Parts: sequence; structure tokens; C-alpha cells
Amino acid sequence: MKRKTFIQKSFTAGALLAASSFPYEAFAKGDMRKITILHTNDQHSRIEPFPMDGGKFQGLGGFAQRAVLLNEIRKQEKNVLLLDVGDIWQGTPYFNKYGGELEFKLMSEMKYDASTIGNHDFDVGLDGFVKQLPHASFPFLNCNYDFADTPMEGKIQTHKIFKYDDIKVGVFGIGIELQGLVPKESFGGVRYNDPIANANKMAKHLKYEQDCDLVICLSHIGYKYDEKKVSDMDLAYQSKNIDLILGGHTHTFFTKPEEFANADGAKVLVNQVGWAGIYLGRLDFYFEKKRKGILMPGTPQLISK
Amino acid sequence: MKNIFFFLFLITVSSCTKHYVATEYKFKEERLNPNLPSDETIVKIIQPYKDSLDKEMNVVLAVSDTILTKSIPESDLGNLMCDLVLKKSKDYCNCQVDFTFLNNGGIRLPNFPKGNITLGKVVELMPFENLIDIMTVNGKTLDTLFNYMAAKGGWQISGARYKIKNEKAFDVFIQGQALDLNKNYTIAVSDYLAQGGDNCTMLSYLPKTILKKSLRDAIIDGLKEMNAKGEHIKSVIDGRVQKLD
Repeated sequence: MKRKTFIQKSFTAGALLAASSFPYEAFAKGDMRKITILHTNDQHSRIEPFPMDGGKFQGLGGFAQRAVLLNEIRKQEKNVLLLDVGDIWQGTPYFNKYGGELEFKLMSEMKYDASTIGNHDFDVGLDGFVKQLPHASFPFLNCNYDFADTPMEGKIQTHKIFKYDDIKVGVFGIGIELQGLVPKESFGGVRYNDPIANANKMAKHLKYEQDCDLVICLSHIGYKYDEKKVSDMDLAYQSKNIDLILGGHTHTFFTKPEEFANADGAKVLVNQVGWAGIYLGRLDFYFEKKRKGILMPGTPQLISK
Repeated sequence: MKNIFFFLFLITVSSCTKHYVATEYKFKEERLNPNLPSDETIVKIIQPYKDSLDKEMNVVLAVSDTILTKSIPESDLGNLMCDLVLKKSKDYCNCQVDFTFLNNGGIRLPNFPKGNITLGKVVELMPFENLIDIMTVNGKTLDTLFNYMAAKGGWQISGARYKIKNEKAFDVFIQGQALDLNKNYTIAVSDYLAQGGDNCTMLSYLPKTILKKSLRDAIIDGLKEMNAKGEHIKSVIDGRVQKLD
């Protein structure tokens, strides 16, 4: 009899917690943690803002302008993770002339924490990529390309874990099918493997073996397609243990992150910020210390403002 | 009684495994607007690269009377690019070329500005180093190609016209003549597409002659020629690609 009452009580408490709006009180008391995720994708060598020439994006973007924003955010936030989702290269003469050196230098100066590899990051071939790696102080993450016996072997990490106080954030990357998209001589012996199977394998490792509190997938496979082609939407529905998919490739401008129910019925978020550094995406995650099993983990609610 | 003990044990264990759970998130997009200041450290790193690049890239190639825009199935910007590639391909190979086309992803700027068109702007429009291939292909292959372009929502062309309905191409005319499935045609195509890029697999195993000129060379040379004659860039949508649904 006693036992039954207790269970009922804890369920009520759980329901109340889940239904309540943002728990500012808990945050003020120091029981909560906040991680600020900042992200870009498909920068396409847009070093300077688009010129004021009447074009669709005139005046927008720019690395020096983004750096100002980043400095402002870093002044206000303690736990900042800055990520890119690939296609850093190709699109302005800066890349044609300097082969990607300046992009890597500037991203290092801006303290990017990690990036994944887009199809256009193969545009100067594998040797061209390796040549520019010393200019990047951040790692490139991918878990579905096999770089064995290529110049990139051992130079790409599958994942990286970032620790903020007592929060662990696991980040990994996946890339698009290169055959038919990138000239064979550019991607050479790099072999493409199933992105969803590899993403799920990696996410399981990060969540359960590495005990990560948040798992982020940097995906350059594209948000969605009319034709049958694996996309972030497919990944979101078929995924397990991924909390956030930061996308790229399709240059999709999201107005807010899309929420999907994954293969376990848990929530997974997808976001993408167009291209050319016109936007910096920002997601602030708030963490509460909870007892395992009482509330469904990994289902953050969107709160406006 | 036994049950209660067991349950108490469970509570003890679970309170040891308290961990952080993401319960809320806030979302914000920071738009990089023209009023943002520049970070001095970043500007200093860019400056020497920019100075050297600007000297090369600020050369004016031609003048445009209007803003040109990229769109599908047909656009003034795509027409300009294809018209220049078709014209210059004939000059480069000193042969008749019937037709050229360009994938939508091969146009890398949303707009081409009004006024002075610099070399830098052309490099942004066509940043790739793709060379022009001249290919002789039969009407059946072209029929497959036009249907593929139609399924993609309409790609940019020159030397031909076609209509699209239900993702299929029809009323295909090459050099003013209805497409003949039994005839051979000479086409100019980016080596990227000729090798099956953007999944143009119908072209990948066919013989090709590679010109030592790139698509960008064709656009640059074409614009320079116009400018030398005192002509301005004037490109219009003339109905060469029509989507009927």
C-alpha cells in the first residue's frame, strides 16, 4: 500500500516538472547547466560580406562580422561550442587563389571547436586538403568515410567529446555520397559508408559508453530531397540517441529547428542556417540534474524568448 | 515487507545515477547584417590576402544593364552563361556545336549585378575549374538527358528548347529542328557533367574531346568580346524552357 502511494506521488511530481514552463528558479539556484551551441554550414569561402550590388544577400555575412558576434556571445556565456557542418570551401576567388588556407586560419582564430567535411572540401583533392590542415586548429569529424590508404588516413577523427563542468557533449560527423557528386580524381580512394547506420553506432557509443549528456551529429548529407536520396529527415526518423542534427549541403534556411520523433520515439532536433555565413545558428540547451528513468531523457522543449 | 525493502534499495541505486538531462532549449538565429562592425583581428588577417586578390579580380570585363537572377526552369543568368559557352565552344573547337546545358548547381551566385562585371564576380558565378568537353551523342541519349533535366525541375540550356510536364521533357527542338532519336548531335558540356557528375550517368561512358578551355574561360572570353564591341550584357528569358505544371 505504501509503495503504491509513493509511485503515484513521484509520477505526479514528474508530470508537474514536465508541464512547467522554464524553471528559472532551478537555474538561479545553480541546479541547472546551460550549453550554447553555435553553428554555421556551407560557408563557401564567403570571407567578406556580399557586396552592396543589389543582389539578394547584399551586405550580409562576413567572417570579421561573425567574429564580433562570437566575441559578444562568449562574453555572456561560459559554455560555448562553435561548430561547422562543411563546404567551408569554394565560392569566391579567395579559394581559387589561396586553396582554402585563409578560411582555415580565420576559423581557427574564431576558435571553432570542430567541423565536418562537405563535398566541396574535396575540391582541391585529398592532398590539397591535407596541405591546408596545419592551418586548422580544430578537428574534422566524420564517421562514414573510410580514409584508409589515402593521404587523409589518420587525419580525420570520428568524434570528439567536449566537457563543460559536469556536462559531456559528444559530437560526430557524417558526409554525403561522393560518387556522382564529386569528381573521382578529387576524392580518390575515399570510401562512402551508410551514414545512418554509422551515425546510430556512433551515437550509441557516445550516449552509453562515453556517457554523453548531449549527442550532436554534424551532417553534410542534406535536409531533404524530392528524389530518393538519404537525407537528414531520414536520419532523424531512423536515428537513436542523437539529440541534435546540425545540417548542411542543401543550403536550407530554417526559421526554427525542426523537431522529429526518432526510432525510439524520443525527440531529435534538426537545424540548418542556409549558406555563406549569412546567419549564425544558436541553440541554448538547459540541463537539469535528474534521476535516470523518472523522466524520458533527451526530450528538450522549445521555449520562446 | 520484503517488497518494501527491495523498493528502498532501488531508490538508493537510482539516486546515485542522477545525471544531466536536456530539458529545455532556446533558439536564435543571428543574422549577419550590414550594420555589424568588423573584428579588427580578423580584418588584419584578411587584409594581405585581399590586397593581392583585389588587384587581380577587380578588372572590369563587361557592363550589364540589369540585374540577372538564377532560377529554374529558365533564367536570364543561366541563358547568358549557356549562350556564352555555346558560342565560345564553337570558336575553341572550330566546329559546329548544336547544344549546351548547365546543371542548376553549377550556377554559384543567386544574382549577377547591374553595372560593372568584374573578373572576381565571374569567378564567384563559376568558381569551378571544369573544362569543356565536346561530345557526339545520339538523339536517344539526348532524349534521356532532356528527361533527366526535366525531372530536376529544368536545367539551363542554349541551342535548344524544351517543355516540361509531369517531370518529363517534350517538344524538344535542337537548332530549331525537332529532336531526331536516330541522328547524332555535337554538344559542349562541362567535364564534370560529362563524367557523370550530378548523376548525368547517360554521358559518362561516351567518347569525348576535352578542350583546354574551361567554362569560366568561355564566359570571360565571351564577355570581353562583347565589351570590345561596345555591347552591354543583355540577357532575357525567351521561353526556351517552359514548365507546364
